[in-house]
Amino acid sequence: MLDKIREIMTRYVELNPEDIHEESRLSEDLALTSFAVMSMMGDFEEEFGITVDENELTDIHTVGDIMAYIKSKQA
Amino acid sequence: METAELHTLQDLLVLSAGERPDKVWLREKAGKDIAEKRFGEMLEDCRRVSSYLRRQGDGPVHAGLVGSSSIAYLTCFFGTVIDGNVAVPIDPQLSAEEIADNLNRADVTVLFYDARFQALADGIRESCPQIKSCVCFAVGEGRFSLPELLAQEDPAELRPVEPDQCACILYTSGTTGKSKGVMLSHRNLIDNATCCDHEGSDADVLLSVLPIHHAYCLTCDVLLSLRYGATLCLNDSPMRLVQNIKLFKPTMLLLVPLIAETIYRRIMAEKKKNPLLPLRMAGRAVFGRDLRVIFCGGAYLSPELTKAYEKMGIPLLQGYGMTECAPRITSSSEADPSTGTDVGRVVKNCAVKIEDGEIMVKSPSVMLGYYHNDEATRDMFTEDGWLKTGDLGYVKDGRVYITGRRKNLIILSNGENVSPEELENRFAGCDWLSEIMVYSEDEQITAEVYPFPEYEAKAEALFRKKVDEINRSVPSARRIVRLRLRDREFEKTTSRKVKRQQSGEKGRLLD
Repeated sequence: MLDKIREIMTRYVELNPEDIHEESRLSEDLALTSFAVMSMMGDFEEEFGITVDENELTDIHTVGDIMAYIKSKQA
Repeated sequence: METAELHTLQDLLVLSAGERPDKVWLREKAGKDIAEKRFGEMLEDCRRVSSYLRRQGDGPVHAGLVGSSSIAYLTCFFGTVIDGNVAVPIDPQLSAEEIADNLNRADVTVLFYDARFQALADGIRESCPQIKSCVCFAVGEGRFSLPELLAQEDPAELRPVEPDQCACILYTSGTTGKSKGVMLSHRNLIDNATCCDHEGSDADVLLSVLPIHHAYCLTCDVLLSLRYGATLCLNDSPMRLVQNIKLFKPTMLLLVPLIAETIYRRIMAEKKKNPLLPLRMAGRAVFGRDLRVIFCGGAYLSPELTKAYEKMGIPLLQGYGMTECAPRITSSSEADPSTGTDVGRVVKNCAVKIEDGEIMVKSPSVMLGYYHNDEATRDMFTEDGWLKTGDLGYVKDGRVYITGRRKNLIILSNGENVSPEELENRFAGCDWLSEIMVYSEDEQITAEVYPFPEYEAKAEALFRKKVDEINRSVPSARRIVRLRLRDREFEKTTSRKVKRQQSGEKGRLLD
């Protein structure tokens, strides 16, 4: 899952996939604007066949949080 | 449609429905399907809402709307305004307390709301005691809903509406101070929706992305699509913009610079992975083949971004306005695009003059005033009726150039005025820079930047170099003397503008 997330994230950050880690913070480390995070979550919806609730995004701060969120939605 | 026949929003909806009753006006996602509403059906539904509102009070009813763009939202909005009532669209991203405060300050007595605000409706007796009726956009247990309203009401015979009646109260989402309720009349909105010609046709498809409680979205997405008989598709969430562009295949888009920039970065990232892919094709892969033009407003648009879109073959046309002007003051067109640094030409019927460096406006689009705030209204106008925009700028060869905001002006101890935006704009094109704010700290001009993290190691040197370069090109009193480097984004307003008053910790001071 991490690889797929990294691949999608490189649509929004000019980094190599291996430079994106579970601990990477979306705003502080990856410089993602809140709109970029929203847009990325839309891509994850499509890729992982989940439905993201915008109101739940306030608790997502790191790549690891994204992974946990996607897993919870797949469960 | 003959624009001379248009005086009110009632005229606009009735004439559109008369001209194209069976054409689809609105489209939105409904689960896995797409829901549609024709111009004729829409008028009928709106008249049913008007009928319901007739029984909710004598005289114009103030109806609050809390939610995002949807067919239901627009049905309630137009059902309110076409019969002479006042619509009060509220920013749904505000806290529950702020929403209640805005509803109370606008004397709202009827609330239309999205189901996710059920808690607000449940607690409305305590938070907004003057609200007597609540209508949810969707059916649900223990609440009254729009589908039930439409089933029980007959379409109203609409009452005559005067052009100078207030149609809606829109709260300004300023970067400074408390929001004020801007009263826009039918004349204001109709004038602004017809202040440019040849922007679109009934073959156009618009995808509405911006928040519906903003004048820019209301006038340039909703009212323009009605005027031209174009189809308006509603984006269900900022999360799904790129997916919805593929689904709805718009020919026109209205964006703010932040969104245009994020999408551009995404296109460039794709291109980096596939360097042989021509830029135009990379752009079309995201925007689709049908997109003809993007209108951009709401914040500073860098000439670099305009040029980048030009290279993709997509005109990014800049305009300038404010809620108080419903909102357009200037615009540019495909035939006459802005040159990069200007914000276009003054729109029809609008007069602009510069007084003491500030842009002043007189036009039929200028608001009635701020609701219940005569003092703030008086402060906005000169004695002879010019609206003071608070923006600094100049006009050259018919084009308007913005240099900054008057209230952001830094006034130095020597009396010299410095526009922070003018200095901030000099950083345009720095690929290492994500955000910047210039302000006065201890009477010293300070630049605080948030660099992209991939430049973390080099940011300090790049920042110093850029400041040296700028300082060599400005008079000594305007030089940047204090530098601060941040490791996180600046706080923003709900419309994604950097707040001039930051409450958090400042960036690290560089020696």
